[in-house]
Amino acid sequence: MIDRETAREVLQTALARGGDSAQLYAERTASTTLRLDAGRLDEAAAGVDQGVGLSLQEGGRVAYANGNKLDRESLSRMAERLSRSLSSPAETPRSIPVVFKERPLALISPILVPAATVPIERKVEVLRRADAAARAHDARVSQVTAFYRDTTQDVLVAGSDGTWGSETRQYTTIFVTAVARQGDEIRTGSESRSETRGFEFFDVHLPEDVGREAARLAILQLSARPAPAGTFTVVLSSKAGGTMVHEACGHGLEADFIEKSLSAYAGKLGQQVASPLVTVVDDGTLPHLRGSSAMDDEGAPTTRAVLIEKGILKGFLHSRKTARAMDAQPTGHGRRESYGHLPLPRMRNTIILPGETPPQEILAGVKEGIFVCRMGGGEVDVATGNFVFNCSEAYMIRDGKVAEPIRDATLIGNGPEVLSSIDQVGSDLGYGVGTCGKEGQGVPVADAQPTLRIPRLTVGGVAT
Amino acid sequence: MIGREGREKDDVLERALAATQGAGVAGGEVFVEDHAVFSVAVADGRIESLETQDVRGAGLRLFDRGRVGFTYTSDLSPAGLAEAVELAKGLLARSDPDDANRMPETDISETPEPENFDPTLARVDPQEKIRAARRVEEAARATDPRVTRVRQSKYTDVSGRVEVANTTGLHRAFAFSRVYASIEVNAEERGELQSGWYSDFAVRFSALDAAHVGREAARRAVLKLGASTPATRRAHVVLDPIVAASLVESISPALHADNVLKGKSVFAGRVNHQVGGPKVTLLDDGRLPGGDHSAPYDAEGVATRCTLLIEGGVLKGFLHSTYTSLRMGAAPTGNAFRQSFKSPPRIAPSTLYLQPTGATRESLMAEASDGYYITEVMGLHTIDPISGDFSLGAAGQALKGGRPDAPVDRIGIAGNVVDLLRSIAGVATDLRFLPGGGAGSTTLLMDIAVSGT
Repeated sequence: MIDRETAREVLQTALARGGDSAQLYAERTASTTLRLDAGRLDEAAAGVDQGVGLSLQEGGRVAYANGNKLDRESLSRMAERLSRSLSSPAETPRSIPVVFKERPLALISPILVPAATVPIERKVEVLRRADAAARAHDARVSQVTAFYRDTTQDVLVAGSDGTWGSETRQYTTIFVTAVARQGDEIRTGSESRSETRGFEFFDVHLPEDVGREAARLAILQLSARPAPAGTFTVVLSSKAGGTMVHEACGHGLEADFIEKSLSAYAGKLGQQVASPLVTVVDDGTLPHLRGSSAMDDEGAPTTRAVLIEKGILKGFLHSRKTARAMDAQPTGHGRRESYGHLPLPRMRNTIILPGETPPQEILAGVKEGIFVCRMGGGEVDVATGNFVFNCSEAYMIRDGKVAEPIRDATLIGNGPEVLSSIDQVGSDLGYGVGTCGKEGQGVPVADAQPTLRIPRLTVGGVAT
Repeated sequence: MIGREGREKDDVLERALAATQGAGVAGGEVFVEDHAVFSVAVADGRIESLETQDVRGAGLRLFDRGRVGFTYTSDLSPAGLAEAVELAKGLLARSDPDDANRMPETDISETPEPENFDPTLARVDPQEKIRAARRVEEAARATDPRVTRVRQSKYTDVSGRVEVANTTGLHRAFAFSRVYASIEVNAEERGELQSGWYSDFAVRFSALDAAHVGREAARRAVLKLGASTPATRRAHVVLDPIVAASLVESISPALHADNVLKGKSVFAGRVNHQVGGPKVTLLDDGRLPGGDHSAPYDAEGVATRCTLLIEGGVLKGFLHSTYTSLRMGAAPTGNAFRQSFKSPPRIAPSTLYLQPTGATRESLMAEASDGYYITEVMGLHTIDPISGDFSLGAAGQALKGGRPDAPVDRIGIAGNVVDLLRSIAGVATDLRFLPGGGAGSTTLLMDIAVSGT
């Protein structure tokens, strides 16, 4: 995308009138999105977006310019303008030496079949297989929408501190929504799978399985009764994904909130913030997970960051800026949606590690409660730690057994309270995927947890 | 520091349109977006970040015998455009044909065009903009001594130009600008921390009330101090304008004609039927002065207008793109939108809002009696767009004898957005526009399940 000579020149121009450091981020993202809706391929979109972002750091302040003109002249104009946006730019330009030190990066998610080499017909075929399987599952499946998306992102980071790193990330995603109808009732079920993998993704995730799962969930919703309103004991199955850990503690441990004491977890390093049964890590190095990559969007290698160990708060998720401000080691969590955005500390793959209790035993111990088998989206208020997450598959528990399905349940709790109250942790582990939003930037994430028991959570249902 | 002067004029649109005409297909459409962003974030009076963005890109659609292919590119060189056209041809060949896949022809709207662009914005000194961001923070801190922390006080402006043309001869172009201010603050009392967020916008720089944004965020944070979670019960609920706007916006997918056509809307086959209470009149207005999404034309170049969707509780029509209006034989509504040049046009509302019923905020609270006043909801993105089922976390104040009383949080409200239309008992005249589209007024809902302890 950009050669070393151009990168060096741009960084030197940016720093010519002052500032502590400069960094150049260049990106080329090609994507194909296909939508098979009501059996027709009614949206076929593909294209390429490329651009650069140039940042100039001066104390706690950063100036950032970005755009999608990549020629040498436009870049040098961008750098020149940036150098003049300092609080007091020097009259006489200086020349700062920039020597790039390329460090080898681990290959975390090897790509066997790049999306660009796969003809569109084969991508469409994946959707037709998912669609057929969903429709064949039950006659009450009245409509199916299947999305395919591949994204190939080439990233280059060059910094005046010598950082030079590049990698290619490929994301493959399938998302199916089935609509089930029965009389006037209309319910939906959705299933999505997404990984950092090439087209061989579909050898692991059969489109038929994805379609059938969406259909199963939609049909289940037809027979589900509205969720009760009130406070219940909740068992989160390992199959439920990890939205709870993402909302209840992940966001609150992003160091930008900690640095400014805006999080319920601020100032608690080394203290007990969760049950001793709870250990939380955020690991960007796990092969093929949706939140994995070799380096972050500031050129720092990704790591396995231990956040909470046996209930004790051990660390935070850092970007370059927060690591410097808090005098901490970078953790490889500086991420951005695209060249159009400044990097922020963000989660990757957030995991509550498994414990020792057999999952069946956890369920069997609950007299009346809610069994959550699948979580949807969620949200958190970082200041209080109050969070919500939505359940797309949930059941009542009666006398230790799974009873009738319930629908439209959002669970409401407080992060530190809930983590401290967890009194049983299963020996299993299950994963979920999502796109995490923060300050208008979406980044791909995954999360995981074992089966967990939370003694009290508010269920936002309709049946009082 | 950062200027928009010297932006070169060129002929990207003409070149791209010529490239689609040379593709050997029946028709082509070009959408070109060119915008600049200036943004400054301040905390504790110090600048944390200064951002500028200059982005340009094109979206191309090729049409041939009912088939469509869409591509986008930010490489607007002749080679980049040629590559995009080739890619679109490949996609077109694989798409399924439908004879309603046609390009719009030039039309007109009777409604005057909304003010959409501030020509003086380019001349505003960046220092003025930085002062606006500082003013937000100062106002927040001055409102209440319990406002102790500011996450970020932000000023952002976006300005640019959108142009769309197709091979039927349609050619529409317009300039736009918006200025935004937002802030997130924390209020603190006896170790308890509560957050408050607020944002507002205007077309003109001179119309942005930065201090109001700061005061409102501070007020929201302070109000929540000492909140508790009440017992579960059914109650009347008054929604503040922001919450009401968000819930109304979530009804929108059921009114999108493509969802109706595909049997993914609860409103399919319900035109001229009663779907809401008699006080419910729902409009979408693409030319409403003050709407964030207001614009003279939509993303296909169709003139925007005001569309009556529900009148006195009776369903009157849907929101259309060119495709759905042709497929359903309905009048176009100008509701094709693109998030950016990278997205094909999809149906979305412009400013969807409930017509006020003549009530005031106070009269609605009096009617709600011992219910709740909801000022915040969490989990809006989890609302099922097809079934309309929702379950949200919420915070606000308990009402006592029709007046706001003690703060409440960690409560839940649940139901179905379409059923909500039947629960609406009044809409006040305090219509407020939301950044990012939508508008809402203080709204009264009767007899809603409110979860708590």
